[in-house]
Amino acid sequence: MANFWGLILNENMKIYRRLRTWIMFAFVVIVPLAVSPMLYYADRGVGVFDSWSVTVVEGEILFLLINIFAVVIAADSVAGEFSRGTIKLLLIRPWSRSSILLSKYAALFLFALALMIAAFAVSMAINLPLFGSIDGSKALAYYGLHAIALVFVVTFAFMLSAALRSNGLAIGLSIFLLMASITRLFDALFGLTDKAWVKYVGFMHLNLVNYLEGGAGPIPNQETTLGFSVAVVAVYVVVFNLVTWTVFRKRDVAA
Amino acid sequence: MSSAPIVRLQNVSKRIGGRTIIDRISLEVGSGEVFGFLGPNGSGKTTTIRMMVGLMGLSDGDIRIGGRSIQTEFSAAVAQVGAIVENPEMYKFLSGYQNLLHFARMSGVSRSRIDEVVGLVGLEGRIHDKVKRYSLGMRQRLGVAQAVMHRPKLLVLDEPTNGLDPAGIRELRDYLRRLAREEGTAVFVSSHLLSEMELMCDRVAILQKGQIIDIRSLRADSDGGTAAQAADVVFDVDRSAAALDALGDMGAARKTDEGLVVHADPNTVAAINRRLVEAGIQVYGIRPKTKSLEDQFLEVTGSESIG
Repeated sequence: MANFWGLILNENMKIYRRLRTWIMFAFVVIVPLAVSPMLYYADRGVGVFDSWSVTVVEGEILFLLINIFAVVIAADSVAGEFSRGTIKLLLIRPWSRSSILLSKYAALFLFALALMIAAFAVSMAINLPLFGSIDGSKALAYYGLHAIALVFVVTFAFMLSAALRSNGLAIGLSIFLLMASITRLFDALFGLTDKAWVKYVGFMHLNLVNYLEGGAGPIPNQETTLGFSVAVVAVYVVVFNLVTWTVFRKRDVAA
Repeated sequence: MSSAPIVRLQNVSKRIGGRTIIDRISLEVGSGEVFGFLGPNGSGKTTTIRMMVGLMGLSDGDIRIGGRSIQTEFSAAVAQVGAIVENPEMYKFLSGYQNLLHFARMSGVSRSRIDEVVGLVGLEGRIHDKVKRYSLGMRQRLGVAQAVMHRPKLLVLDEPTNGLDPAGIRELRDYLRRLAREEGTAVFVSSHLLSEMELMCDRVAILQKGQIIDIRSLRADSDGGTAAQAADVVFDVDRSAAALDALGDMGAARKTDEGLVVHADPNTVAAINRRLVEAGIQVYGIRPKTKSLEDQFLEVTGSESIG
């Protein structure tokens, strides 16, 4: 019997043997390479930028891209097998559906991690020589806080991919969620209410960077702690996964 | 089929939304047998196959492959199955080899075995090209390669010849028969093409509206049919009316569209021939009247409601 690592290798092969994946990496590499020199020349003789602020400016752009790219891959992960018809060949192997799903989920996180590592490495490589030293642990914490929201978004997209089996719908709804979070659409909806339950809405906890500078959390009018935000996100991630697993394990494949 | 059956369906039913799609199907396929699953479109062939390979759940009954239940011992059961689904779908952005590697990793197949099956299906020259540049025939070969590389005891094919050209169909048919003969693989093929099944299969089950209405052997003459048995024989003659007169009640002769049909054993056939020749009637040909599968199919299903 083959081992589980083989399944992850398969998922990786399906991700990295495609041109689109390398275009994604190219964008992630290009952003710091383009933005840092621009800021460097604009800032000459002014001196408002340091390594930290440039890393954050680039980080906001990078994490928007990373979220979108990860959503595209996550949405394709299960739905793509259905639309290609390869699901039929995939599920008639001596592996449970749970194992196949787990290998896909794991490969998604490896992909998201690889994008983040690429973003971080290139950012550091260009910002340190141009703008001087940075508080390394703070920079990592910044990436870490973004990563928590990324887990939420990827899991959401993965759930839609498995439940709806529609690539486009999964991408569309996940990007909507992401945009709503960035443009603070949910804040506008829920922020008006001042009701206590608003802080249990998972979508409200996608801007965690606020905690880094000692902020009172992502929700206006309501003070939360990082621990609380992480707990809320974790509960939602578990629920999304329960839905994904239940739907995928039970349903007949009639495609 | 002296040995235990490779696949056994026991009272398999499938209900979807209150509608019975498959109604208490039971059948067995043994080692080395090519079994045809025949029926009009919408009769439940594909649903049955999906249940056999675990893509769909059963509402009732059980399917055992090599003695293992597809429901309770899925991995052990499905490990013995290879399948070619309609229009072999592959990862088009991967090469043929990467596609095989993908499925090999899932079944624990070695790289040397991948090379072997690539040779077997004759794809050596193109295996490292992307599948999107393959012709349909090449994709079909790749489909065969992924289906047989783990040496399954049961090979399941759902409408395998859809979209293939005559040469491709012929090739697939020869390959399946060889696999059954040489490796003892049980082959389960579904199709709505009667003539094709006739050439390929040892036995066929006829499915209609979710029920098996008949299972019959297509190799009757090879299972101990003796030379002395009486059978329907067609005589091609120039004047059938005169021939009927000449024969009298010999061989219960009757006139049909095909010619003069008699029911007789070989000795009588020779005697009839002599009688006709002596009566001055030209005999152009003598051949056994075989019932085509189509005739048999229509006979069992009746002429109504055949897709």
